[in-house]
Order: sequence, then C-alpha cells, then structure tokens
Amino acid sequence: MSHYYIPIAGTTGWQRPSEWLDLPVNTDENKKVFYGLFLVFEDEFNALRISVRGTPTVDWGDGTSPFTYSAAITKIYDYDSITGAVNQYYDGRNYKQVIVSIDNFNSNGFDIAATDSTNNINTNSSLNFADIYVSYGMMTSNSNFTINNSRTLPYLEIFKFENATRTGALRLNNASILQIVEFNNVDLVRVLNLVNTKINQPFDFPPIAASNNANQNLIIDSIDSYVMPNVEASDGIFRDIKCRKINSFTAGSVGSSFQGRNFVRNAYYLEEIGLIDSPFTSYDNGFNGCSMLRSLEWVDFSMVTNVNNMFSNTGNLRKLITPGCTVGIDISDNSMTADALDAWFTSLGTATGAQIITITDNPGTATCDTTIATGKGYTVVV
Amino acid sequence: MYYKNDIENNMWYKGREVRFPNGIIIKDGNPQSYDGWEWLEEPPQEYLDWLIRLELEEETQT
Repeated sequence: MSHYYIPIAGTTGWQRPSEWLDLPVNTDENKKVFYGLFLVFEDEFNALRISVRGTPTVDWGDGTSPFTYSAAITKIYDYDSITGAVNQYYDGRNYKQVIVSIDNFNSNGFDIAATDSTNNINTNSSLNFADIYVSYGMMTSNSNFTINNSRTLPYLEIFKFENATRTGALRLNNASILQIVEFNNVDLVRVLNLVNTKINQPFDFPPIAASNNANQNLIIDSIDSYVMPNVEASDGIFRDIKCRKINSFTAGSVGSSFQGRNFVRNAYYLEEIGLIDSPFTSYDNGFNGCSMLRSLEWVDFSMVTNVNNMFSNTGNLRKLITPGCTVGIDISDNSMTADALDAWFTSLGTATGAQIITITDNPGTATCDTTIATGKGYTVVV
Repeated sequence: MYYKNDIENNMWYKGREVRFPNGIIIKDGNPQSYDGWEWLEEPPQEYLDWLIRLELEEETQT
C-alpha cells in the first residue's frame, strides 16, 4: 500500500489508500477539532500521549468511551482488542486503524507529541498517525500546536490544516513520507516547522510570520510562493533546504534584525529563485554554499547594506539582477557570461562611497563591459 | 596579485587587475600600489590569518 507508488499516465498520482478509514468531515470553520488516523501495528508499541489546554472531549477511537480531558494522558493501544480489519503495511506488517478525535481544544497549547518517561515515550519515539485533519476554529494563538516536535512521523501521508486567524508555532517535523499537505482558510501561521520532513508533492504554503531555520533539511521539489507579510524572525529561512526551485519569495515589514542572514545557506540542490521582493537589508551568508544556484532576481535591492559572504561557495550563478544596488558584491568563481555580467551591471544603482565588485573567474570576465559598473562609481576586480 | 585590506569592514580583496571609477586600471603589478591596493608576490600573513578566521567562523555556524 501507500507511499511506494508508481504514477500512471491519466491518473492523479498518489491516492489515499482505499483501506484507510475515512476521517469525519467538518464543514464548520468555527469548530476546533483534531482528527487523526492512527495505525496500530501488531508488532509496535502503539503509544500516544496528549497534552492540550482546555477541556476538550477526547475519543481514542478504540471503542473506549470518549472522556473530558483534564490532564496530560497516555494511551497505549492494544492491537488484539481493536476491532476492524487487519491490514498490511507496505513492508508486510499487520496493522489496524483507529480515528483519534480531540474536540473543542483551546488556543493555549496543543501537544500530541509529549514525552512520558513512565511509559517509555521519549523524544524520538515515533507517532503512528497516517492522516491528520485540524480545524483551528478561526482562533488566534501564539502557543505551539505541536504535532510531533522532535518525534518522528514515519507513516504520515496527509496533513490538512484549516480555519485559523493566526496560529502559534506549528511543528510538523520529521515526517518522512508526506504526500499531501493542505492549508485552507489560514490567514497566518506564526512558524511552520518542517525540519527533516519530506513532502512528495508541492503545496501552497500559508502566510508565515517567523521562520528561523524552520525548513532545515526539508525535502520538497519546489515551492511556488513563500510569503511573510510581517517578518517576526527570519534567520536561515531556507537554510539547508533540499529544494530545486522557489518560484517567489515575498516579505513585508521586517521586525527582525536577522533579516536575510543565511537565507538559503547550503541549499545545495536549489537551482533557481524566481523573484525576491523583500525589504531585507542584509543577506549575510545568504546564498553561501548554494553550488547549483543559477538565477537570482530582486524587485528592489537598494536597501541592502550587508552582503558579507553572500555568494561564497556558489559557482553556478548565471543570472543576477539587483536593481538599485549600492554596495559592492563578490561574485567571483561563478558562471556569468559577458551578457549576464553586463545585465547585472546595468541593474546596479550608484555606489555608496567606495564599493568593490569582484567578478574574477567568470566566463565573461574578460569580455564584459566593466565601464557600466565603474561609471556608477564601483571599483571592479576582474 | 594585488591585495587590499578594508580594516573598517574586516574585509580583504585581491585580484590581478582592478578597474577604478576614474578610469585608472592597475594590472599585474603596474603600478606597484594604488588607492590601498598593493602588488605582492606572496599573500600577506594578515590575509592568510583572515582566511583562517573566516573558515573557523563558518565551521561554527554550520
């Protein structure tokens, strides 16, 4: 079943396994509910601990009676006592299914990845959810909504999150086979943590407020649009991401001193960023280590003052457009042709004081027209 | 190679040829120095020390 699939022409690719139980359908945007399809394996320690705020109704989905939550609680599922079909996971192991329901939680914290030393649930224990649906009830929150934190989600293939005015930090780390991620009717996510997660199909990111190293080692083919309307933190937004293309990045007002520091640092597989529209004044080490990065273009570069090591350890850059740039940049050892260098020089603004551009060891270094840059006050090292 | 130390910004620059906004070009040691650029057969020790510091900083950040 499930994630080892072969796309067939004329189909829509990955399909939700037909043997999976359907999650309940919610049509009320004001409803606060978590539904999770939990796989109970014959040969696993099938534990789940929840620590939430408020007095929601919890249904473990195994036939035991729903109860009103009052304190952090651990559930250890008994495979033998669960009714329903025995299914086979792709590796041949037997599993049964339950649907966990947590209804009417409040906005002061939600954690289904809590540890429990009494029951040997540690920070690295896996969580057996395969399909998760959350409706946030149009709440506003700065508290964490923790699906897993540092724990692993080896079976999670679908994650849908709806109906939020503003969430706190939404932690969805260490999910290795996610197929479908959806955000609907979500105005703002404070942080979307996708560290060490692999998502097999591109999805529409919700607007995000803060993103300090939130995408480290995220494996995803491409990101269509990443929008940060009011930036609250931004050090290493795409640092270490395993992604081929980011179609656009847009940031609004900046409240963080980090700005574009380590922006896509060490994103080795990143080939292109479509268009950057941001008020960041610093890209300190922003593209350091992006050895496959070919193309970069800003809407406006005039506010940028810190380009320290911005293009260290790149090498493949073939297009660079920095409109209104006033600072010297080192793009030595890249792949810029004479035409590309001339286009870059043309996009520059007038240098602020003594500024040095270094273009050593590019294919077009010897034949480009450096007078375009010197005419704007730059010193050019060829 | 020409070397230039921007002490204020803790930066070093180097190159065989440098073209200035006033039209002056220095190349392959002719002239020996200009506007803080100095032609040296071997990299100065301060430059090498700076490179080592950069590498160490990078290691601590990665």
